[in-house]
Amino acid sequence: MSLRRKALVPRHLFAALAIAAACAAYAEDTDACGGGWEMDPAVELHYRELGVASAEKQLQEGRYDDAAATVLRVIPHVANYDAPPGDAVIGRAMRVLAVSTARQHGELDIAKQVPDYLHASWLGEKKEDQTKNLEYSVRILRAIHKNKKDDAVAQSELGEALAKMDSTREEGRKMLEKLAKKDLLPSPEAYKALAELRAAKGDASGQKVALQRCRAMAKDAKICKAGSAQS
Amino acid sequence: MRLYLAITLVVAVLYGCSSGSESSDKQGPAPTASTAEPGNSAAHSAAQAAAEPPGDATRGHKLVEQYECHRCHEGIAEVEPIAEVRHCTMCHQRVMEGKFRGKPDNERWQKNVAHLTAVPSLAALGKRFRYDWVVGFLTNPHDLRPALEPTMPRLKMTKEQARDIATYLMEAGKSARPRTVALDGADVKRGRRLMEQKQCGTCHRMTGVAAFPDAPKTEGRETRVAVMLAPDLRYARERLDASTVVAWLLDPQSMKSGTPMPQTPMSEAEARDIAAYILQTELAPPPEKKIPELPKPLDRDVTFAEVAERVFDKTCRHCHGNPDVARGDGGPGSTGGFGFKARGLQLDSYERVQAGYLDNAGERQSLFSSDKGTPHILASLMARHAEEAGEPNPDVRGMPLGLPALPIEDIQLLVTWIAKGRPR
Repeated sequence: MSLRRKALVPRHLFAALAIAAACAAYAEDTDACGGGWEMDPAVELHYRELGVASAEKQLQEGRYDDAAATVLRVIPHVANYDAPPGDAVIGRAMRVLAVSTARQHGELDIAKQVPDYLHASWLGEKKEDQTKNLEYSVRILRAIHKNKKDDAVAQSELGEALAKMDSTREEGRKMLEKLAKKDLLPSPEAYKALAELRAAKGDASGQKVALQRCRAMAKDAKICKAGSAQS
Repeated sequence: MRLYLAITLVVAVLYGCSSGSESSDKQGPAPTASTAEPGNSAAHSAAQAAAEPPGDATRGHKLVEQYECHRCHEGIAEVEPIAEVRHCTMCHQRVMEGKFRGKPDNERWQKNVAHLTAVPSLAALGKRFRYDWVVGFLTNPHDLRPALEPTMPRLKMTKEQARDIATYLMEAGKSARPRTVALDGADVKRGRRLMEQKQCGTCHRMTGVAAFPDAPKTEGRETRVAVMLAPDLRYARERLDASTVVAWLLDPQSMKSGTPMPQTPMSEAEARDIAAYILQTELAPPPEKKIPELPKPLDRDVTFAEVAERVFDKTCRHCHGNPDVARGDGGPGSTGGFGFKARGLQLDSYERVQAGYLDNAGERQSLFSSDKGTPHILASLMARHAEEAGEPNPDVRGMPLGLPALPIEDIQLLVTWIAKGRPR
């Protein structure tokens, strides 16, 4: 037994060295770890790009917790940024996390999908965590909007996030109303947020119109009901 | 469909000739057999002066870069080379060869980018074409090549700019125009027989005359470059003079290096007979093409997924993409290009379709706001049908730009989706 073990060690060592050497040789052609990682022509897409594309799809499908979890798994340091950096993929990831967090009112059910050390405040177990998370959403979406002033999606998503906090609700309402007036609200979620804001203002007929648009646009009209965060 | 397009082109050209330049009226519709053709550059320049006024080549050079002619066309002198990812033809060719990026992307893209793999080179333009025709074609493009799906796009170009560009492009090869050949005594009927014998119809069509035997198939997508690039000979009398037609027939490579037009053995007399047929035979008027009406909504629900598959993903998003997922270049309809300013129109997701476009004043507007009672997006798609029928709408640019109009069935899906409240 001991003899066999002795024989295995060099073999493992040899294998490990071979893999390391292969990786080193391979890495010469790449711009790895945060760069383009382009290995033309066979493999060009980075796992982050694929992961973020997948998170965007989950966001579109209304799977906000899944979308946020995917982003945190793929780019664990995403929450360290205060504004999108030059890297478009990280910017897209930040948008997904910020929008998902806002739509879940700062309370992400991601404990089973994300390792403990990445939980930070994302679970929103305490009120202050939820506030912190919503503030993150607003901060990031504001930064995205600043870079894309004429982008109705960026504007609407910021409006939604602003509407989730008392201190910024009126700003969010104005933003969403302006877009709605020009038929530029891009999602049923935005119409739902607008319906809630109009209701809070006592505008029952306006609320009804916004809810009608939400139901017409939504795959599942359930998301238009008050208090329904995740479809 | 191709016949439909060919007919459309004829109408377009006739429209262009009647509404385009004064020169058309002065010069007449076509050269005749007895005309002493402008066979040298001096004579050609004189002909130019008598028709469209010449443009400014220096300005033309800048405009060629502004309109990004070299994103599709090869053979333009002294323009900055364009990166492969922005070069339509090069990029599409690489995709079709499976070499552009990883296999999954190539396979996915091959379904939708099969066009623009062959685009005519603009090399030695001055040797080959009539200046007036180039100016007219730039401002009022039409489908010239029946087997090629894309057409020259209708750009936002003034007549003056077209003259400048044509002047610049025609500098190349101007001094090497073929020697003057007159068609005196050439036999039109013999020309037709010779064209059949030499199987010109294998690649070329000539609408308005009896179809050639061995005509190329009209079903399915053509992939043979020679057939794709073969012009409809109906238009030869507007584009070329007798000298250039004869030179093309006798030695195609001398007219355009690398042309897929084969060298077919023939005498000069035979070439003159064929040229006489191409330039002088009587052409039947093209059948009138009706512009279809905007379809009524279907009696069923239509989801965004269905519309995206048939319309947005298949055709639109390539030029109206999201720069964040396309390395900063969302395409000419999004981040700008081909002389168009950035419109910020991204048709790659549900939200972005709802988010509209930037108007001329830079204000964002909905695609679904009414344009004379028709949502803007539908007006653009229907305008392409009108363009194909030779009736371009000066206020609405037809979409998809430079590609065949969408089938009415696909537009009907969009009509239904809009009528149902644009569900996700």
